[in-house]
Amino acid sequence: MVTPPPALIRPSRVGPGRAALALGLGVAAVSVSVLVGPAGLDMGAVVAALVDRLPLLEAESSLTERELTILWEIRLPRAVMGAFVGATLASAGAAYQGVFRNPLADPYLLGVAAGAGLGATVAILLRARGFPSMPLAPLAFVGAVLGVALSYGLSRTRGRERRSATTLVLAGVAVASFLTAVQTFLQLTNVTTLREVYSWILGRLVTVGWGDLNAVLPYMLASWTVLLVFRRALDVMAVGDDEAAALGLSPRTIRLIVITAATLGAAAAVSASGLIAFVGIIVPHTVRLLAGWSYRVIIPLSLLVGGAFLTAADLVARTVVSPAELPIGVVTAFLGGPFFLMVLRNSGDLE
Amino acid sequence: MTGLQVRNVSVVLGEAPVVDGVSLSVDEGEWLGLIGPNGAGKTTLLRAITGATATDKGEVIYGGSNLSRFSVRRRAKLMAVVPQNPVVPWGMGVSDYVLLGRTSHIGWLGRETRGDLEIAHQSLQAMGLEKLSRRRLDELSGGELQRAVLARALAQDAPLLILDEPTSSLDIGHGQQMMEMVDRLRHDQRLTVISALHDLTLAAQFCDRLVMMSDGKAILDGPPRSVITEGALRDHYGAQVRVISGPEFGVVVIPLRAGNEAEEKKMTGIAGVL
Repeated sequence: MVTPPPALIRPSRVGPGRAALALGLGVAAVSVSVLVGPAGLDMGAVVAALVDRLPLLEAESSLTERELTILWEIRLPRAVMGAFVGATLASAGAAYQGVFRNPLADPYLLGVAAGAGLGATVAILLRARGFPSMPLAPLAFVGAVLGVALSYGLSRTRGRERRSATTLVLAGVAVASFLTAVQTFLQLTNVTTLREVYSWILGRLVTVGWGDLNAVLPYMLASWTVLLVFRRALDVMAVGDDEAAALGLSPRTIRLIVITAATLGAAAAVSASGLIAFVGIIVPHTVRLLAGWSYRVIIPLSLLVGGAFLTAADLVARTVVSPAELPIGVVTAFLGGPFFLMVLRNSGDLE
Repeated sequence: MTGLQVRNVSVVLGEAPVVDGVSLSVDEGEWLGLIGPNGAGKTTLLRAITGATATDKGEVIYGGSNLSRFSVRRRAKLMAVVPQNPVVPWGMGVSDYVLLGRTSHIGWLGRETRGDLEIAHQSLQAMGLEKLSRRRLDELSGGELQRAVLARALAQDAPLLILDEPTSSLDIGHGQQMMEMVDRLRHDQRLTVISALHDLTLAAQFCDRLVMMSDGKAILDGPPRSVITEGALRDHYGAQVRVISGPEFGVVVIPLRAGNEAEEKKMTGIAGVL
């Protein structure tokens, strides 16, 4: 005889309703993003062209060869990249908040942004100094990873007993200030590249093609996988290092693994799109307010909602001042600033 | 060898030794109480036993093996800890909290089995938390929260239960209930219990044996009556007390008001009657 499962204990799960809703948001954002743009493609024809690509379906589209290229090589990769960058930044933010038990932690906390900024600046300078084909993304990626490695290494110089999550955050602040100082120095000695550096720092999805996406996709997928696997461990971390250890999880090991995964993802995201601020705070907190405390729910929903959010933000960035574009980082910061203050006001409840 | 042995353990924090060459042993099924004035090193000794604090000298042995060689997971399967001030995560539900007790039994990649849910369910029931299982942890009263923490420890299914001043934030009724529950669990589940205790009268009522600590050292070790004496409390707590003991109620500690000789005489009178 099969006994019914104990009714009192029901572990937190993403219900099918919430999953469908979040997935629907993502699909809707990507769809609208593909339909709208300055080239003024006929929406019906775009839908027909998309349907035509689906297996077993055929539809006649009135788009010209040039318009099809805009659709497949510009609009679609940009929408998909927006979704992937948003998903990565949002889930990395949730993960950082989990391992640091700090509601204001974000994917840029440990020097990711400063390191990537320095890497990108160096790449742009090298281009101006006779290496025109210097690729930017790999240097930004290396800078981001180095920034975090430096923060982590620095925090380990403290005695074993006194090492804590706070030590790591403080080391991150010091490393970020230092790297930013170096970056500012390089930038000011080469004023001609100022504009290019700034446009990167404010974040943009402009130049994205499938190639850019393919270059960062493996890191993003690896990051998502690890964070999804460790979402139950993040729930255990909520009771603090001492109690987590007493329950059987090594908090230092978990923190190292989760930080590594979240950083790889965030570094890949910034290397492709520049520094897009606040996604890692806005999205996890919205999910938390609507769906509760558990990272088993927050991580998967942040992936889906983050994708939808950044794609929508990109849509705003390229339509409000059309045919010109706002940097997408300006749009997210515009929403994120007030949101950050709200979290700060309520963070008494979250600690 | 069964039970737990603490052998010559020292913990140095900063310059001074907080725990200074402590040796003690706990037999299987025994309830050992750690008493001593504030700052005597009770909490640090418990942390050294659970592995939360590294020892600078000495070792902790369980069943013949040195605990410092155990992984965090293996240690968690051996001992469940009820901290003095448990962290209350924002928004977490009581049943999720109790389920955290199963962490050491679930692999990194795994998820809880029906057996884990079953055990968490029984732990909730054992602590009388059925009606509160849907509530949020941050909405519970002090006594309810302590029961939830105990339920989580119970779900851990470990033979050793370590409690750090489990009654310090509770009133006399809830404190007593807490001790009764630990006592019942200890018999039902055959647990070995080590607890730091603030309330000497409760400690004497429930513990099989007491160890008194002072300045990081274990200075007295024995049955409650031999450890809780007026002399020991004066020398190590700086307390003026009457200690009354009787066959039907164990040991009672009564603090005296300084200079109140009439009161003191009355107390002596009562003691004489008993």
